Amino acid sequence: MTVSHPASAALESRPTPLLPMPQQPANPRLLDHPGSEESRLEKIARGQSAPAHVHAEIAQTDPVLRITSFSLWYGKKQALFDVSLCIPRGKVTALIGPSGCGKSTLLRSVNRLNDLIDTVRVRGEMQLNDDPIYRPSVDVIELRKRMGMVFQKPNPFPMSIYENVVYPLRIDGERDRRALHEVCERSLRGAALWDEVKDRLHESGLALSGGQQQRLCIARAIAGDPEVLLLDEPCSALDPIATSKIEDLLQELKGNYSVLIVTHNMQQAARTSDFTAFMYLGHVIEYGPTGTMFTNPHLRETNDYITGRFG
Amino acid sequence: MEPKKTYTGRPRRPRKTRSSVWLAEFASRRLITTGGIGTIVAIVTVFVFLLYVVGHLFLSASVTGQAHAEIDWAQAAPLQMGMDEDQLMCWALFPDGSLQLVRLDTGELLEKRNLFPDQHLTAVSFTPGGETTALGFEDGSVRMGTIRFDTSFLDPDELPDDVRGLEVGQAARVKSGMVLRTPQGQYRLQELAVDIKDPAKAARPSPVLLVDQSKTTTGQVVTVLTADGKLRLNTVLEKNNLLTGQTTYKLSGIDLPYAEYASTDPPLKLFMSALGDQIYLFWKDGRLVRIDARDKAKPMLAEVRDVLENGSLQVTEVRCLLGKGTFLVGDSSGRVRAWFYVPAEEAGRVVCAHDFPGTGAAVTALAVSDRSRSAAVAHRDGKIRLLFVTSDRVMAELDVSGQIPKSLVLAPKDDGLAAAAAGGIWQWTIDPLHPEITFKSLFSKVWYETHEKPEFVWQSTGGTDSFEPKYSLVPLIIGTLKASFYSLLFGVPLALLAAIYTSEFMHPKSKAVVKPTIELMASLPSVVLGFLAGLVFAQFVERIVPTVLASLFTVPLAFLVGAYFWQLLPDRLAQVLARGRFLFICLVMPPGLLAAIPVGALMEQVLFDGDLRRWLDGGGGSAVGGWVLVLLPLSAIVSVLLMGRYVNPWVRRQTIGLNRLKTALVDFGKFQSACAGTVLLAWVVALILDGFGFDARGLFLGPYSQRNALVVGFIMGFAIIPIIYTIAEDALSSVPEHLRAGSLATGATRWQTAIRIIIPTAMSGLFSAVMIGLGRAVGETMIVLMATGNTPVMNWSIFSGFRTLSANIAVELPDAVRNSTHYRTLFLAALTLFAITFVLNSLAELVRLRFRRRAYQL
Repeated sequence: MTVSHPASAALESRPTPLLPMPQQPANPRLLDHPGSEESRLEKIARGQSAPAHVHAEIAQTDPVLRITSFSLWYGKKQALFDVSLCIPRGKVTALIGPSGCGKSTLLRSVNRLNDLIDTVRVRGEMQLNDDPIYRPSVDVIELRKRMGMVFQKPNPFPMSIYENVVYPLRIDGERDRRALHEVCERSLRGAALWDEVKDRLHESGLALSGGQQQRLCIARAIAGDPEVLLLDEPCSALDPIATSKIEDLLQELKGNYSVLIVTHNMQQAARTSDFTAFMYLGHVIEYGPTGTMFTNPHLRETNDYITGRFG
Repeated sequence: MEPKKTYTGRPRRPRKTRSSVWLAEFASRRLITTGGIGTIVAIVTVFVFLLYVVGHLFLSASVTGQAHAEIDWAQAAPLQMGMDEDQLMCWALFPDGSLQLVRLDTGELLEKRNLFPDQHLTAVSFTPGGETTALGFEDGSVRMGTIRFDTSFLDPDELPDDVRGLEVGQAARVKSGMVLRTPQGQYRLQELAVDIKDPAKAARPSPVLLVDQSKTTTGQVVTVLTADGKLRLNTVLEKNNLLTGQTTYKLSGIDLPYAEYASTDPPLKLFMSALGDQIYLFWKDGRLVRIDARDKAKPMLAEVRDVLENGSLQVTEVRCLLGKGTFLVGDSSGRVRAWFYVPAEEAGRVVCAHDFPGTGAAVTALAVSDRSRSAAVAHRDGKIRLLFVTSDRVMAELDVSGQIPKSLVLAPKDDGLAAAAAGGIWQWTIDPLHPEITFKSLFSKVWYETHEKPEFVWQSTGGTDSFEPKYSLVPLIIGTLKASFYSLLFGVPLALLAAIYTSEFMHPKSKAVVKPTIELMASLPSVVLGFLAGLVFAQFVERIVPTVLASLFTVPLAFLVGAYFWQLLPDRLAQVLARGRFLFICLVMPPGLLAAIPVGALMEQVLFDGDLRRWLDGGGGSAVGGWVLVLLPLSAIVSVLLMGRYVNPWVRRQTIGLNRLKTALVDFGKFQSACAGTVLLAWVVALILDGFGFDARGLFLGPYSQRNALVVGFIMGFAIIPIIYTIAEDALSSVPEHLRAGSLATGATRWQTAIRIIIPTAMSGLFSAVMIGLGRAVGETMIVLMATGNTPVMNWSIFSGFRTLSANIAVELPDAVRNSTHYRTLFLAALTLFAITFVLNSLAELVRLRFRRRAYQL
């Protein structure tokens, strides 16, 4: 069986090796006990809790963001259940899972954008570089300045490309033209957009193509010099060529930035991330290094999902 | 065979569209098309109708008929002629005292009388408007009288057959008059009615050279210049003999200062003003002497001037216009210049307000209208011009084929003209239309009688017959703009800030209550608002003007102070209280209002010399106070900008590392010094402006009238807030959520997000909101009608009333005679209003499209 991927045709000539898609379950442990225990997914669907399976490699990483027993409710409906994750520093971590599993909710909880929704309640704690995120004394504005976020739909502001990029500096009251220009160029180079727009920095950001707009948003996120980059399905609205550019970009940003990316596209997760967390209905099912997760997942549920049996 | 079942179990879906659906489709399409085209047609029709009514104003007068009759008037030219209103007959008074009545169409002599068989007529003066005529005689006596046409309706049974058979519009001679069959079929007889009173004897019998009279409130006064060089201002004393029933007249008066001119040539003309307090003497050489007789005990020679301003010319004829205020001086070059007296505190003066250039041919005769400021002037080359003096307009040019016109007369309704020359009498019927209206008289300054300088004046009706309507639309346009300006000044900031607050900051639950409440304000009928404004609010404000002015500053200041206090709260407490922030904001309002009372009193004491009203009336105190008041908002803006640019970054650098409370204290201190700086800046600029002699009184401030722009600004601002608020709030709320999230995710505060992202994106909507508010303010009628006092004064003072185009139409249209100049001018006012809103809306749409192109890309 194959997982259809819109980008696959365009990606054939890419240097990054495609990970072999497991045609057969590769992990012998899973084969040893077929149906021996009740599926975790069924338990979760019934409303019971199931502990996440976290690979041992995670414990050896240096976490930039630590999520501890985090639960979230939209009104009466619980969307996240006791989520605990450590996001390693300088790595790309992907959140995968079927629609409605709470990936985006988790991401928006990290920079407290969910505060905008009136009915949201949370329990648990998150820490960014050991600073708490959910404490009454936390200055949300300050917190958000430490993170950059890129949304599913490109959302450049209705202003020039230049102003879009330097927006984080503008709100900080930066007036030094030289500093602004330098940040603008660096961020655009970082987002691999500089060569395309350097001659029209003062045209509207909305005049760019979809892929360029998304990279502009990444440049804007970088310009704020964040500790963590949060990417919420950044390629879902883009065509394969634009997608591949952004994926290349992620490879380049890796190391300098810690990236948390939500994606629907498992091949993208496999290609771009170092660690992958699989979520289902608000629970983390399995979390481990990407290579293991895609070639040799410890849980049959993960294997079913990545092979496309469900979801 | 059973039809094959489909997947859903239903019989196969019919593929054919039913005819009723087609019919509905067809009908709705036609209906929508008709409705759309109908709307356009309706608007265009209104526009065309307005244009049609207004267009008449700008048409020139037309000559509709011409007749010539041979009359043998070989003797001297008539001193004065008069025409009946049907333009059938004409009387003429000759220097020998004979009065002739002739038919204009045939030249037939209807009647001839010798009015003064025993006396020798030496001087005569006729006053336009059909008033009393003064006649002076060789024996020094003066007689008053009237020569006019009397109208009566005849019983058809008593008429001869040939007269009874007249068609409508035809006329025939009956006795010594003319009978006209009117359009109603009646027989109207017009006869000459002459009523000359007995002579009033003067104390010294010397031949009268010149005479003029005026009917004043204290009785008839006559000025007489006699051959012995005396110029006397007399009152006519009337004495009834109870036994005989006879009335005798006597002149009794004072000598005017004339000795200086007694030995020279006598003047050409003598006039006295309608009030009898100014006497004007015109000489052939252009000299004009004005004698001021306001103080009867001490009349004085007030002014001597040259009305020709060209030594080679001669005055050939002088006549006064209706109202006896303006004098038309015709000279030997054919010029006609209008002079009138401009009263002033110190010394009034006679000015030349209108000048009709000459053609080279001398003026031989002048005739003035009995109902308007128009006049006819005849030239030596046979040309006759019909002038409208106030609007500087030459209405028509006529010709008597080479003859020299000796005397002219205008028909009583200004719709005809007759000229006597050696070859007989020429007659024209004229449709004068609306000679007082020109683009200049509507939209630029016109010099009206007794006004000090050319001005914009709207004054459509007056108390006397000699009143001249003044139709300048400019004061009304200014009034409209002023009303809109002050109501926008008050309403727009409130409405836009409220919209920003509700869409960006308010809790959705509060918003669900607040928004409909504000929208409910729109349902208040404007007549109720106007009623409240005019009868309640205006009187309330009048009592507490300083407090109201102070509240404009104290209330916003109270909010700012409240915000800085909020920063001083401990962190935890602020977090907890933040949920009820809206309540706290509301709590700040009453202290702000209360503070206005002492602040207002202080302001009045310090800025306005203790009494604002007296200061506004121009008494006491320097101009500094007013300037401070006007400049304070500007100075606040300047200091906010300066603070943001220079002080804030510096303060931010200095406060890095301080704790929350200390930072807040520094911030509060900064705010206080900014306030002090604002006041100081305003004061310094005010001192400078005062030093240069500028005074805000007369520009933005002025004498207080109860119904004024401040009241209208408040109430009409209140009326336009809901509409601006609703549209603006919708525009702000419809900015895509992902932009808001994007901005907040970069660490921007809500205020930064609102200012930098939301407002620019929603600009097209905000702009249309303001423009729709402006449109409402421009067209609003009831509020301005009831709360402005409707005085068409022209200034930008916030304390004075005004009259808007719309209120003017509402007030005056019921009184305007259909198709009169007034009526058509009101339609022009409507058209102007239409044009203003049209231009504003078009501009708004253009700007909005520019903004929207950007928003569409989102």
